[in-house]
This record gives sequence, structure tokens and C-alpha cells, in this order.
Amino acid sequence: MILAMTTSAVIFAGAQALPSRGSSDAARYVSQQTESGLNHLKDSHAFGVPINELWEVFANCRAANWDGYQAEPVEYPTLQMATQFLKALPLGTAAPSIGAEPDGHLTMEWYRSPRRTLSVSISPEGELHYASLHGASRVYGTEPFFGDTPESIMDLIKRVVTA
Amino acid sequence: MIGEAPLVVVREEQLARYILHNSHVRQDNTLKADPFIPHPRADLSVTRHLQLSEPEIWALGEDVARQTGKALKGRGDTLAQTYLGQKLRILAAPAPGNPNHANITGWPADKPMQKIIALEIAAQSHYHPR
Repeated sequence: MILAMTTSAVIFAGAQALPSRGSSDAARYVSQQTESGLNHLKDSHAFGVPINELWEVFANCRAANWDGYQAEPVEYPTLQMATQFLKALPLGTAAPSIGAEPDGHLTMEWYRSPRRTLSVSISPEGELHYASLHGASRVYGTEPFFGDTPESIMDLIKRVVTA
Repeated sequence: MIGEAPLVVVREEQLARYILHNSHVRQDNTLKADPFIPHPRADLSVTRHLQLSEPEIWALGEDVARQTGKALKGRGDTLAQTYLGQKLRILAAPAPGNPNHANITGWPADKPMQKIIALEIAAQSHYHPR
């Protein structure tokens, strides 16, 4: 009971929660439960990570020509990379909408209006191609994905979703 | 009646891009950039409305959908001048079964640049559900 409460407390401390580095059985248990709890939360819509939507788009775009215009299929490594990208988003980040492009990249979009939006394409190689409109301002580029959300993309997400 | 289409595309023409996936359409019935990305191809395929009736425009979309075994969800209509305003070119490219087919050409090779252009086009397009 005490361990369960400790685990919950660690989980709900939010994105700053870190697994215990202790070496006792209890510490390892807390660490495992924390990790498991975070993964469970991140797999849920409650924390804005639409893993199910990602799988649905993948399932619909796995065959070549899925768009009727000779699109490339979305491959499993792209799904894996996109899943990692989603899970790397800090807890509390607004949920993106998932899509796919004719080159087989998966996309995540943060949207407030047609001229206030951010689209990120995820390639199987871990390249993040992004483009964002903010009124008349246009921002675009490419960032590598090494397991953490690039700061430039987090800044753009905040610009789109905050009032 | 589908007949021979003029080869010159004028700024005032409406061009349709058929949509087969709900993930390309936002909840407010606007279009994402995704269906306007040409990569890995050099060109983006569209259908000119010209003199086509609504049923004829939809029938061409149904042909596109039929080739994939998926249902046609809708279409995005975009004025030719929207593409031209992004420094793209529009070439009439009549195809078997679709004499109103055209290609949007002149895209930059760089993916992020394609995305920003596609966002601009999406922002000025109108989605029509089937």
C-alpha cells in the first residue's frame, strides 16, 4: 500500500518525475511501477497521446496507392518512429491530429485555425520535417529525432496552442 | 458531358483533389496539408472542373477511389490562382478516362518547403464531403 501510494505520487508529479536510482528491491519496484504507470498514461487519450489514432492511420495507409494518387505505403519503422515521437512529448502537451503523406511519412498536426497550425512529418529514418503558419509568418525546417522532442518544435506547438 | 479540355489553365478555374481518408480532413471540415504534398512525385495530380457538372466531378473521384478499393470521402477545391500564387505551374495533362486531368508542377525538392506551400494551399482550399 505504501509502495502503491509512492508510485502514484511519483507518476502524478508530472513530467518531472524520474525513476528511482536506488538499488533496493523496493526502489526497483517503485521504478518499474513508475515507468509502467507513465507508459499507461501516455497510451491513453487522457494525456493527449492518440496512439490509437496513429495505429488507425497506419492500418489505413499500409498498402501502396492508399490515396488513389500512387502514394507510397506507410511502413512499420515509420510507425515505430512516430510512436516514439508521441511518447517523447512532455505530459500535458496538447494532442496532435494524426495523418499520412504520399511519401509514406506519418504526420502530426497541431491546429487552431488554417493560418495558425503546425504540421510535423516523421520519416522512418527519424527526420522531422515541419512547417507552421502563424498569420502571415511561415516557419519550416528539419530536425533530427534522437528520442527527445526538439526545442524548436516544442516552441512551435506552444505558439499554436496557446491563446 | 466530358469532352476535350482546353490546354491553357486560367487563374479562375477550380481544381479538385479527391480525398479518400478522413485523416486528411480536420474536425471543422477544413483540409490538412497532407493531401497537397507531391513528394515522392514531382507533380500533384488534380482535376479541372471546367464545364463538368457536379455529378461528373464526383464520378471522376469515384474512379480514383475505385482503383484503391476505398470509399471517396470528399474533394478539396482550390482556385488555380492559389497554386500560381505559390509560384507553381499548372499543366493540362489529359489522361485516359479523365480529359480534365492536370499536373501541378514546379515544386521545390525540399520536403519542408513543400509542406509550407501545402499548408498555404490547404488554407485556401474548400472541402466538400461526398
